[in-house]
Parts: sequence; C-alpha cells; structure tokens
Amino acid sequence: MSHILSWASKVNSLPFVNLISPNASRMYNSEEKSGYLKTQKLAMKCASEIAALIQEGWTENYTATLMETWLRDNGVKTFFHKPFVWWGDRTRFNGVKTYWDYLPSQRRIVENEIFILDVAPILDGYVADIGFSGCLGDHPGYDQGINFLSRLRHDLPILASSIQSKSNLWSTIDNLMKDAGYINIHATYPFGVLGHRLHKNVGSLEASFIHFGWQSYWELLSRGLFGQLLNKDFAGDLRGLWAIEPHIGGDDFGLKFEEILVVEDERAYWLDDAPCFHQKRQNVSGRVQCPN
Amino acid sequence: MLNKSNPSKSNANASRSDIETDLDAYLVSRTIRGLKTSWIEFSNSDTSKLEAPIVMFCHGFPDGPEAWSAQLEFFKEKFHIVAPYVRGCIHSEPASSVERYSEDSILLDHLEILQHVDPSGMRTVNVIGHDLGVVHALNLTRALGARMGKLIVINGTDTNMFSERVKNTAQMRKSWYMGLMQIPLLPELMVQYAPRSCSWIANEIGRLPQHLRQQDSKLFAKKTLGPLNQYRAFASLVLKPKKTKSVEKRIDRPVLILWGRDDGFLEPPTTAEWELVVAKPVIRILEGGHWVHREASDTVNPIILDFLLDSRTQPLA
Repeated sequence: MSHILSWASKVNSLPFVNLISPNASRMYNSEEKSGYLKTQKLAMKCASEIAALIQEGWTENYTATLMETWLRDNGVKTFFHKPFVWWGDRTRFNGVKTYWDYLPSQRRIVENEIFILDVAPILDGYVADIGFSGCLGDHPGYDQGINFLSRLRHDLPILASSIQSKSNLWSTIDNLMKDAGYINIHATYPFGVLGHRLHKNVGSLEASFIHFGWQSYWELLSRGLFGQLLNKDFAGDLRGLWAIEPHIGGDDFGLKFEEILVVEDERAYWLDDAPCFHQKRQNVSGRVQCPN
Repeated sequence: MLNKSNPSKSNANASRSDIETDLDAYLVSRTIRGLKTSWIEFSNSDTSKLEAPIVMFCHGFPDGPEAWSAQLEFFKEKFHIVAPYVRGCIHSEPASSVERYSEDSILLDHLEILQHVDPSGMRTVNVIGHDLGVVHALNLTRALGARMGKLIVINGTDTNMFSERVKNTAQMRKSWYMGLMQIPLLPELMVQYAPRSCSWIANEIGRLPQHLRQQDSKLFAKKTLGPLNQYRAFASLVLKPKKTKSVEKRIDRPVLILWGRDDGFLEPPTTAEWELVVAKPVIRILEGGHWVHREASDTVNPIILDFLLDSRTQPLA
C-alpha cells in the first residue's frame, strides 16, 4: 500500500484536467509570491488580534465566528478552510474520534489553557493556511514547546533543501519531535500530513462542506491528491509552495505553527521572514506578549 | 457642554449643533479593519485618566454619541468616558456590505476601540446601551470576561429576546416600521428627501420632548442613512431561525435595566425575558419615553451613578 501511495505522490497533475489545474510543482514568480504573502500576513494578523481578545469563558465556536467575521471584514470572501479553534487538551485532539470532532466546539477556555487557531482564507484567489498557538496565562509545557517549535521553524528550510530523499522530511521531523519528548500530532490528521500544497484559486463562489471550501477539494483532487500532500509516503517533487504545519503534543496540550514554505531548485525558505506564530498572555485579563 | 469649569451646567436646552461642535473636540479616529472608526473619549476624573474605570456608551438608531450628552457631562468626573459612533454614523465610515454592520463586526470594532483606549487591557469596563446599542452592549458584556464591570440597559433588547417579542402582537404593532426598513432603497429615499418628516415621526413615536428634538434635518439624515444597514442586519437576525450563540451563557455581571414607560417603539420589559439572558436583572420603570435618559437625565443619572458605585453590586470575582 505504501508503495502505491509513494508512486501516487509523484503525480502532480491529471490528464485533461491539467488545463485548468496545472502542475503546482514549479517555481513561482515574485508577483505570485507577493499574492500569497499578502494573504498569509492578513491571516496571521487575524489570529494575533483575535488571540489578544480571547477571554476566559469564550467557546471555540464563538472565537471561530469572530475570526471569520474579522477576515470577511478585511475582504476575504471564500476559505480553503474556515477557522479551526482548539482549547486545552483538544489542542492535542483528546476526544477527537470522527472528522466532526475537529470542528470548533462549545468548549469554553479557562485560565492557563493553551489554544490553537488555524485558518485558511483566500484573498484575490491566493490561499494561505496558518496555524497560531497561544496560552491564556501560564502552562508548564508552553514555553518549552514554543522554543522547540521555534528551533524547528529555523531548521525546517535547511532540512527541506538538504534532505536527498524527500520522503525523509516527514520522518526527520517525526524523529525530531519524538527525540524531544513530544507526540507527533499531525500524524493523526486526515492523511497524516505535515503539509499540503497551495494553489491559486479561480472561483470566488462560496460553498463549503465540513468546514472546507469547495476550492480545497477541487484544487487537491484535480491534481491527483497524493502529490499535494506531504505525508510519510510522499516521494514526489517538493518544488512549489507548501503550507507546513508541524503539530506537537505533550501530556495535556498540543502546539503548532503553520505557514508557507517556498521550495525552489536550490533552496527552501519561509515566505515570510519572521511572523509571530505564538502569543502568551501575561495574565488572563492582561496584555499579550509577542516575543518576535 | 463639556466645560470643565462648569460641570453641572445642564445641556437640555443647548442646540444640537452646539453639542456636535463640543463633542468634536473629544473626537478620536482610527482605521479599524480598513474603515475609519471614531469615538468620543475624555475624562475629568481626579484620578489619573489611565486609572479611572471606563464607561462605554453604545448609542441606538438613529442617534449618535450626542444622545448621551447629559450622561457624558455627568459621568466625566468619575469615569473615563468612551462613546463610539456606530458604523456609518457621522464620523465612522460606512461600509459597502451589510455584513460589516453585523453584531459580530460591531463587537470587534468596540473591542478594538477598547484596545486603543486601554492598551493594558486591565481596567474595568462598564457598559451602557440604549435601543439598538443594547445589542452591542450585551455582546460586549459577554466578550469582556473578567474586565467587565456593570451593564446598564436603557429601553432596548437583544436579538434573541426580540425574536421572542416578534410573537407578541402589541410589540409587533409598535414595530411596523421594521418591515419598511428592509425594502431596498426606500428608507434611503425617504430619509434623503423627507428628513424632517422622518425625524418628526421617530420623535413622535419615541415621545421625545419638543425641546430635545433634532433641529438639523441634515444631521438627522447623516445619523440615519449611514447606519441603516445596521438596522437591516439586526432585523434579519431577529427574523432568522434562532441561532445558537455559543458564548452565551447567562450574564453573571450586575445588570440594571431602566425603562421609559411610554416607549412607542418597545413594550415594557418583563423579568422573565431578562432572566433568560441575565442572572439577576434589576428592572426600574421610569416616567418617560424611548429616550428616557435624555428627557429625565436628572432622574436617570443619579440612579446609574448609584448603581455603578454601589459596592453591594460589585462584579463577581
């Protein structure tokens, strides 16, 4: 089975459909990259501003609604996926058994809990998919986890450009997480993805199914799906734009970041130099701390 | 009006344009999510402005912060006053889409205004709402968590409560104009070409005393046309099947509901309907109409002040 999936991951476009869904394994020009960057900056700003407003007692659902409102107010009309929000032990997917369990719930956040905000808006056709972690107070695992993710963020472009067999990237990240004493939570995502490709969308019609816009199904499926997903069976060409989302788990918490990695012939780099993907509140009703 | 040397001076007979001019001196504007958003902000408190508790005034429709002039004058000595112009109203830029007037959008506007006013995010915020401003005041109360102090409601309801009132024949008789407001362009044309008549109708229904009525029909049009979509967003929410608002649990903050008995727009409140929203509502029915805080400010202001300062009704820890 693994061999079949590895073979399928080398397919980046499908006959006939490739006229409207061209191969995404390519170099992107500066105009395209600035379009993706603009969307990513907007999504990060949304996450950091909403994170700064979160109060004890807010539910995941309410926060997701405010994130969506914030983005729509800023010109977003459609979503690759609508906001996901997880509080406390749900950040490591405790209690998540079906796909519906990933969706924002009625759970209320309490002091000293970790949270994750994850949203993928489409602006002028360009998609960004971001993940943002935070803590409403103090949690014993938070600082150490963020330090690990920050180091991983620093190393990831180097790994992506230096690893000979691209299938090793997933395994290398997996090993780094386990060596540091964390569980690999992204292994439990649908298809176990560390990341997925991003594509420019042509349609602005709004329709979604289980939180994902039709654009996400179309853009991935119309290119053969497996070449678009960076999971442990991936053996294809890594060139292109990827939303990379390492997600670690501790005893009662999870932490992640997600942003766009550009992989070119000779190098790989984050599309944005230094976005702040995490935010810690000094106290529940106090100001936020953003070290970057 | 806001003359520091004569804080007790009454505004009741000041002309509307004078009040507008006075308030302009305290106008603050920022771009919030792409749109110019403005509010009135000042404090004469003896304590540092940065320490005084905040009181946020949410005006109704068709009003602006000047509808609170008697309260702004009265409360400035003890509180840090913040009175936003709702989206589309005079100094707050209108938006092209109705969604930008939704209660969530306006809640985000208000939360961002509070971030500008209190960057520490540590100070207590008390909220006073009137008419449609009560919808925003209740949303703020739910969103502010531990920062929230006390809530004062004046002749207004929230959307879910109004959805229930739609079943009440007496209320629907008073809300005949809501359907009219939903017709595209018609209300705009009416206000643009007959602002004096529209203003007269609103004031008559609300039983606003003659001396407090808006004399400047252009100003009335400005306060009405811009925020009209807010009204449409509100009405469409009320008429939709009830949406579960996930943050909603009963408000456990101290809440005082003041109500002008002769309100031509809204039926008097009941404890039963407010107990669905608020843990311990205190309702006081007063002599007056829809704008009871304007026509009976000498009665209303001390009641509000007592409530805000009363240590027996301090917010729960």
